[in-house]
Amino acid sequence: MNPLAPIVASSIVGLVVLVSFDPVSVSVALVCEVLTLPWLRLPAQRMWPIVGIVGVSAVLGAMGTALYGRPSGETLFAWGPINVTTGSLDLAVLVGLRIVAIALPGALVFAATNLTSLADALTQIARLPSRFVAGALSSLRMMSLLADDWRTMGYARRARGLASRSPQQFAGQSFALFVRAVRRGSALATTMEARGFGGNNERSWARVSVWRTRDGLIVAGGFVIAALVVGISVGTGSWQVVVFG
Amino acid sequence: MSVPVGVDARNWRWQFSGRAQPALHDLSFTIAPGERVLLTGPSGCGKSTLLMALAGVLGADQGSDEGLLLVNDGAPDAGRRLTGLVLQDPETQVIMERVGDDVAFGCENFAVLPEETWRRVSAALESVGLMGDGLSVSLDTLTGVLSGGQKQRLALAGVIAFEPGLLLLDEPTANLDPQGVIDVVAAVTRVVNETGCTLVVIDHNPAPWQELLTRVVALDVSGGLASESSVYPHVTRAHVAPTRDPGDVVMSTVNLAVGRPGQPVISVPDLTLRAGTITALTGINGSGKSTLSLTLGGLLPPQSGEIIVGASLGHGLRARHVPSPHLWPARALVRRIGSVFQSPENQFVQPTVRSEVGLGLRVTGVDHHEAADRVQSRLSLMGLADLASAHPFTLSGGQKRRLALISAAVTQPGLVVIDEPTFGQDDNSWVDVVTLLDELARAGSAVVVTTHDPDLLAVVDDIVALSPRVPSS
Repeated sequence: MNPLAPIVASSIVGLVVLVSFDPVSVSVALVCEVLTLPWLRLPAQRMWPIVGIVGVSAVLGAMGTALYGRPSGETLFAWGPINVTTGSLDLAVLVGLRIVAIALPGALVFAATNLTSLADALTQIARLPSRFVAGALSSLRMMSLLADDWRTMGYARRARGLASRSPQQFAGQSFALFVRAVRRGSALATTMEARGFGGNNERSWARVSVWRTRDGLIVAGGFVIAALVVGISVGTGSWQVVVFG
Repeated sequence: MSVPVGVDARNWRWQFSGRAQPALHDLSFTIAPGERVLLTGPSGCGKSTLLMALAGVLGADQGSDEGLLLVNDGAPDAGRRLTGLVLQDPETQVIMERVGDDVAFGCENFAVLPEETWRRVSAALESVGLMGDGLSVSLDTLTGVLSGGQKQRLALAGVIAFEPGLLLLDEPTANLDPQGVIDVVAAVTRVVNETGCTLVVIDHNPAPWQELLTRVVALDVSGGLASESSVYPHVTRAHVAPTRDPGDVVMSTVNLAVGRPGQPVISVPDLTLRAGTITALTGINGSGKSTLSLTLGGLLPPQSGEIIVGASLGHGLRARHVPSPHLWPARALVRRIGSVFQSPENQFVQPTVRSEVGLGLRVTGVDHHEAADRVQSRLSLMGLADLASAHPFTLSGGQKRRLALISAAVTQPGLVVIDEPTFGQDDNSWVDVVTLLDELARAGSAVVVTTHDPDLLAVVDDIVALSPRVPSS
C-alpha cells in the first residue's frame, strides 16, 4: 500500500464531513470509517492512546457547545452565561461526533504510516522538493532527542542551583532547548551536507515508491464513502451545509 | 572502487566571522593519495575546523579564507563526493530511521542507481562489521536501537558507500567504551586497506590507530603548523601518584538500584565514598554509569535501596531532606554536590564562560570580590582565562568539558560527580584535569568519576566495575 493512498482517501472523507453539518452524514461517515480502520493494521496499543486523545477533545468540544452554544428549544439549566437547552445539547452531540469523524481517521492513518515511505511517496509521486521533505523527515526524528535534552537541562539547572519552578526558569530552559535544537540541527545538516545532500545535482531514490492499482482503489474507496455520506444524507432529507460566521 | 585523493594546502588561512584571530593560518602541507595521517594539536587549535574545510562543509556564511586548499586539485566543496566525513557525536550522524536507508542516503544524493546502491549498502555494512554471519543488524534494523559504537560504524558505512577517496574522521571514538573503540578502529582499518583511500584522523588518544597511521601533521595552539613528522610520537602522560588520605565517609549506598524514566532499573554494587579520595566507576556503555552519577548527584530519585548521606555532607540540612539528595532544594544541592554531565553542552546555563563559572558562587551568596578571584584562578588553572568573555557553546570539545568541571567544582562541594572528565583532552589538558581532580580530593571532597580511560584509572583510589544487572528483588 502506498502511504499516500490512505492519506488521500481519508482526506476526501474528512473534507465532506467538514462541509456537512447534520447528524446523518456524520453518522454514515463514522460507521464507514470504523469499518475500514482494520485495514490500517495499526496495533491496538498504538491505536487506543490516539482514540483516547481524540475522544477527550470531542467531549471537551461537545461540553463547550452544550454550555455556551446558541440556545434553542427547552431550557434545561441556566446559570450566568451558561444556558443548557435541548437545542444546544443536540448541537453538542453533533459537534462531538464531527470532531471524532474528522480527526480520528487522519490521526490513525498518520500513526500507521512509515515516515520514510511517506517521504519517498511525497518526493517521487507527489513531486514535492526532496530538500524540503528530507529536511522535515530528519527533523521529526530529532524530536525524541530533544525530549532527552529537555530532561537533562532540567537536571543541569537543578545541579547548578537554579531549579525553582518559576515561569522565568521555564522560559530560560525553553530558550536553552531552542538553542540546543538549532545546534543539533546544524550538526545534522553538516552530516547530511557532507554526504552530498542539498547540492543541485540530480538525485536518485534507493526505495522506489510505486502507485499500484490497489492504491487507486483505496482512493476510489474514499470517494465512494464520500458519495455514500452525501447520498444517504440528501436521500433522508437531512443534508445541511456548515454555515460559517 | 574509490581512487585515493590527495590534499594540498598553500598558505591557507581561515577566519570565522566575528572572531578577531584566524582559527587557522599559514597552513602549507601536502598529503599524498593513500597516506594515513594523524592530525594532532592542543585542544581548541582548529583541528576540527580544518577537517570540515577539507570535507567542503565550511560555508562562506561562516567565515572567510585566504590562500589555497585543494582536495584532488580542486575546491573542497566541489569535491564533496571525494571526501567522507565522520564526526564525534554518534547522535547527530544518524539521518534515517532504518539502517539500510541511512547508508543509502549518500548514494541517493550522488544519484547512484538503486540496484547499485543496495549492493554498496550491503557491502559497506559488511566492511564495517555491522552486517554478516552471526551479526544481528539487518537493513531494516531501526537506527535508534544501535549502541554508540554501532552508530559510529553506521556513519562510516554511510560514507564509504559513495566511495570517497579521502576519509576524514573527527574523533570518531571519543564517546565510546573500549570495545566500541576497538570495533571502530578495526572497521576503519579494514576499509582503508580494502579501498586504499587516503585517511586523515583526529583523536586525542591516538594509541589504537598506531598500526594504521603513516604520518603526523601537528597544529600549534594558534592554529598554525607546528611540525610534520613521519615518525609516530609515543605518547606518555604525566601521572599524578595517588597518595591521598581517605577521610570520613561522605556518602554510601546499600542495595541501590537506579533508573531513568521509562528505562530498565539497574542495580549497582554498594559504594563507600570517602572525603579525600577519587572513586572511578567503570563498565560498558549502558551499564548504568551515567544514571548512577545522576542519582548520586541528587538529580534522579533512587529506584530502590538507600543512599546514606554522611554527617559532614548532610550538615545544615532539614531532617526531612537528609535521606536522599534528590529531595534537597537546588540551593542546598549546589553547595554540597557538584555534577558534571557526559555531554557538557547540556549543562551550560549562562551566556559567558566567566558567569558560567561564577553561577554556583552567586546562588550560594559568596562575597562578590572573593567570587571574582576564585573564578579567575580556576579559569587560569584550566587555560581558559583568555576565553572568559566567550559564549560557552563556542569553545572546543575539550574546553567545554574543562569549563563544566570548574563550574561544578567552584563551590568546593563535599562530593563531586563527573561523567567522563578526560574525554577530548590532549596530553597537557589531561594533566590539568587530573590535577584539578587531585586538588579537589586533597581539599576534602569525595570525587567520583566515570571513565574508560586507563591512564585515569591508574591514578584513582578505588575502582568500582558496573555490569548491567536486574535487581534481585
